[in-house]
Amino acid sequence: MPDYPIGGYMGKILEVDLSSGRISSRRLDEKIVRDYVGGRGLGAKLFYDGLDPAVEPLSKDNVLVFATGPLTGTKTPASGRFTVSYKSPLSGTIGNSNSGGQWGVVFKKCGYDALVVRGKSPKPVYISIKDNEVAIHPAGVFWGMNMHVLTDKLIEKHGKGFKVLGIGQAGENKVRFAAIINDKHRALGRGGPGAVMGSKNLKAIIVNGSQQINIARPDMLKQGINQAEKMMKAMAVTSTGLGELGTAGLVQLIYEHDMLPHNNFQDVKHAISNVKAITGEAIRDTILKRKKACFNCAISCTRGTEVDGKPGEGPEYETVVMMGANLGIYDLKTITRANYLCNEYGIDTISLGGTVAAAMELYENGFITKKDTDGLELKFGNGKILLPLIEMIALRKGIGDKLAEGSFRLAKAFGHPELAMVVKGLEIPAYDPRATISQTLGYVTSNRGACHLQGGYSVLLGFFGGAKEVDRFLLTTVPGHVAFQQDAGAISDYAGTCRFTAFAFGGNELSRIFSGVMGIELTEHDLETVSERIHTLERLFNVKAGFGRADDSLPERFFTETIYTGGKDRLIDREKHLKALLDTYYELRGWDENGVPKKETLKKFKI
Amino acid sequence: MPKETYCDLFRYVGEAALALHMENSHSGNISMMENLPGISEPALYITKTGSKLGHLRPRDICSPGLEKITYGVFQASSETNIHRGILKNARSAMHAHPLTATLLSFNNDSIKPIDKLGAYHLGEIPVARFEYPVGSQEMVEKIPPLLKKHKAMIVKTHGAFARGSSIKEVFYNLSLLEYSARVLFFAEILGVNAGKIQSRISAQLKKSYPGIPPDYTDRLDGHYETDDREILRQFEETCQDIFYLELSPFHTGSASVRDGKTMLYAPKASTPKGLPGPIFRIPLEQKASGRDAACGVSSTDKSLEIHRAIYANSRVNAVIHTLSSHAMAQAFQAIAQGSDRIIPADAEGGYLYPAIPVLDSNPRTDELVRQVVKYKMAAVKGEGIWSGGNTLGHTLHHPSSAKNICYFRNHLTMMHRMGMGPDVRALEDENGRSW
Repeated sequence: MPDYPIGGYMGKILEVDLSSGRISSRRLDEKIVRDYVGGRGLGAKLFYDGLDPAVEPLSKDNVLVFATGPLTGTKTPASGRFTVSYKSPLSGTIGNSNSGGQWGVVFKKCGYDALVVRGKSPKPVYISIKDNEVAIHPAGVFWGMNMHVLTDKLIEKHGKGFKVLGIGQAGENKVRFAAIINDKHRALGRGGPGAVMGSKNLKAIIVNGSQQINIARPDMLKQGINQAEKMMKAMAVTSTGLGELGTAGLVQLIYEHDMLPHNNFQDVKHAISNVKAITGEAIRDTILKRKKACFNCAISCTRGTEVDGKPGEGPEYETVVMMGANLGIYDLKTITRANYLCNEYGIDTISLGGTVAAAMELYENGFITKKDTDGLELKFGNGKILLPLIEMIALRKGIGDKLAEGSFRLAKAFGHPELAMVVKGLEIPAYDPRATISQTLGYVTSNRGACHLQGGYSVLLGFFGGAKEVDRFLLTTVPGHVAFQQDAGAISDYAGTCRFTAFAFGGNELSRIFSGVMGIELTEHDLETVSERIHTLERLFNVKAGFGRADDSLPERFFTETIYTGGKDRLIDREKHLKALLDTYYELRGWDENGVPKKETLKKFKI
Repeated sequence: MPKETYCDLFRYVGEAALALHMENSHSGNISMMENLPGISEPALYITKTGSKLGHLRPRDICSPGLEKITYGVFQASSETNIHRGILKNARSAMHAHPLTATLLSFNNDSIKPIDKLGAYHLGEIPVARFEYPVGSQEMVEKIPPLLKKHKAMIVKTHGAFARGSSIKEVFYNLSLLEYSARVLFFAEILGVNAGKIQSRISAQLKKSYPGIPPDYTDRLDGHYETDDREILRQFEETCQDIFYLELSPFHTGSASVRDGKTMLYAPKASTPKGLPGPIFRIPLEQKASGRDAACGVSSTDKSLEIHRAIYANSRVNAVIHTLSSHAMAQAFQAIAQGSDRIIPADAEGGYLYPAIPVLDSNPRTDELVRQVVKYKMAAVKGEGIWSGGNTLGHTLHHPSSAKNICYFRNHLTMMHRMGMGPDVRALEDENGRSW
């Protein structure tokens, strides 16, 4: 058992400096624990304290912080999550990404709550952590391998007890939206953490831990878990929906609400027969082989699929839409194969889909031609180009080198930055902003750029929010809803649990679980305060990195081109839907009119 | 069925359930299945999780698949799997929180109605205990078999589930359940030996006896055999008042107006907004030309006979029959105490009625008619309040007053038991005893 006064923690931070090869550890500051708890919060704090916000993201001075939460690896449902924090090479904002699977739990059981990676190795290396034994190994022989091969090879070399996290060729080639992949199929995807890892010549981190996690008050934890599990069994989404259909079960629902993006967000029009070909139902009825689950998760939303004899995982909702419907591609096999390929190369499927969509619109408008595309016909609906294009992006071949920079840099390079559907450089996920005002505000105020999750995921409150339902076109009170949703969601991120549990239970149940694990009484209000603190710290980093109010906006398309949704033609009104809502949102957050956290706010949150 | 039609059904039943306090702002769920042309598996429609039953919109109803799960499951109620099980033997199901029935479930393993309608239609209603009584797998496994045998059941300390051949029948069953529970609850508070009544009713139900109410049907709802808009408006207003004032459970009771040699007869007197019953034109002459059966009236139903008999023996132009739980509890107490009347304790009641006559169950028709003609209304133990008047509105005043009179008497008795006031008998008007 770790010698640490707060339950749920191993009490140590592991630090690896790849420039010097120095490995060290230090005690986890209890004050940080109380203020930032873990996961995204701990990562943000360690990251903020140790990094100049002006740092070039792909330089040796960027830092990667892998952090677990106090609930990670406990008996709490779906508690296999961990976070990586970094400065994003895609957006230039604070970057953080969250993943499930097994790696985070096993890392924690090595005896650490967080791993801070600094510097840059002169040659490719990987890090092994077996309980307290930490070593840096040459990775030359593994460089150039995709994640599937790499995982198998490292386990073959080090033993089956090891869990592997690493980068594929996309990360090695510093594709700006390269993902870090763990457990072969799970992605720390958004904002390009794989590129940061590649820039450090760090191919993988393998872990094998066997230490126990100290639970301060097991009886209270058991009580909280019992309640949470019962609620998960009672809710149709968590007991049946996600397990039966996966996240792609949302496809038809989102389509029916006229918010399923099409052809780079030009409209939301799809033939229903096309939509039905890529739904969760279609996946279940055609390519699903088995349902899979992350650590201690009864939801089992992971799709173990097989296409033409090749097994893999996915696709999930965002992938199906961003690499399918938004490209005019409705062939499930093509989308699934593309998903497999992204996992192997280590690529974020949302940003990849968004970038390809921008390229297709550039092509269809004649802004790029076959001369630029190495002969590829980048037309919407042309599924044949998807797999070759992913390989070209991952390996930075031909036009792939331009696409590897992300949609904003791509569109700008060809003179049409307005065709990049991004917020702060991060590609917008698979819900059209014009069809949901609350999600729009979430997109523009998410600290890592356009993100449905860190934006609060309020879009779903319009469909199955139950008693918390918020109309998607509501204006009054929306800033409060968005801030609340962002903060409620952040609790999962710093706890080390999956966001999907929030469909069944929330802060009330989590406060019991937190208190049971940590032995510190944390009320729902306390938890929300931690979230507010984290959100403010992340914002402060972005402000110092040069971001301001002007960046809290959407591409021009959403202000000028209507879509038919919710029974009429709609677009985002710059004044009503953005300026007015942002004013109120900033006020609620304690930020000034430029979106800068006020002094009293920083004082309130002890930042 | 077009989406607008079933959405309206959900909406109106949801509003009605809220009006009867069967739900809190966000509780409960309603489902129905429908065979769609060309599709082998029937569609399942169910309310969204956390939706407000009192304010349902089309978007609050989702379709999660009956056998094969579909995307609607992301929105569906947490009790969807229980509904799926129930719908293997029914067309519709509903979960609600009828307060009195739920209250009785705390200390009872079943509820045995002492009123005739509840005893006949619902019989003994089981109360089931669950380790986790909200949306649990145990409920999914145990509730559907119970509802195969019973029309309604109660989850101990939680609420009720009911099934039926339509959404309206399900709500009828739930509404009746709450009525029966309330009659039982107040009758026991008033000192009535419910066990003895339950045994007698149980014995009666084993053989056919006069006055068995007809089976529920919504086949002819909304069918009107008059085009006089004013009288239709009066029926609508009166029947809605009967429902919202809780003078009778949903789609129970009856109301009529005399029109020459015929009467316009509404076999459902308690109808909330959007859920009207039929209105038939029926000859006043006894069972003329087989119209009774054509109107879906059971040959054993005495209601129509009583309407006719009142018209035949009086000059009243309107008759209403209702089932007020408060009045029924008082009627049970009166008969148990050998009394033939309910005497108002409140000023308004005493001003209007010195006393309400009470008859034992299965009274002779001529005796019942005599009482109604003479005293404007009469209560029949376990069978409701009969009243007559010049217009529907005028007639409605009687059962409406009876409910309040009995409400005060029931609660004054409770207060007296708790030492909070005098015996209700001390508050009765002397005139009522000698009247």
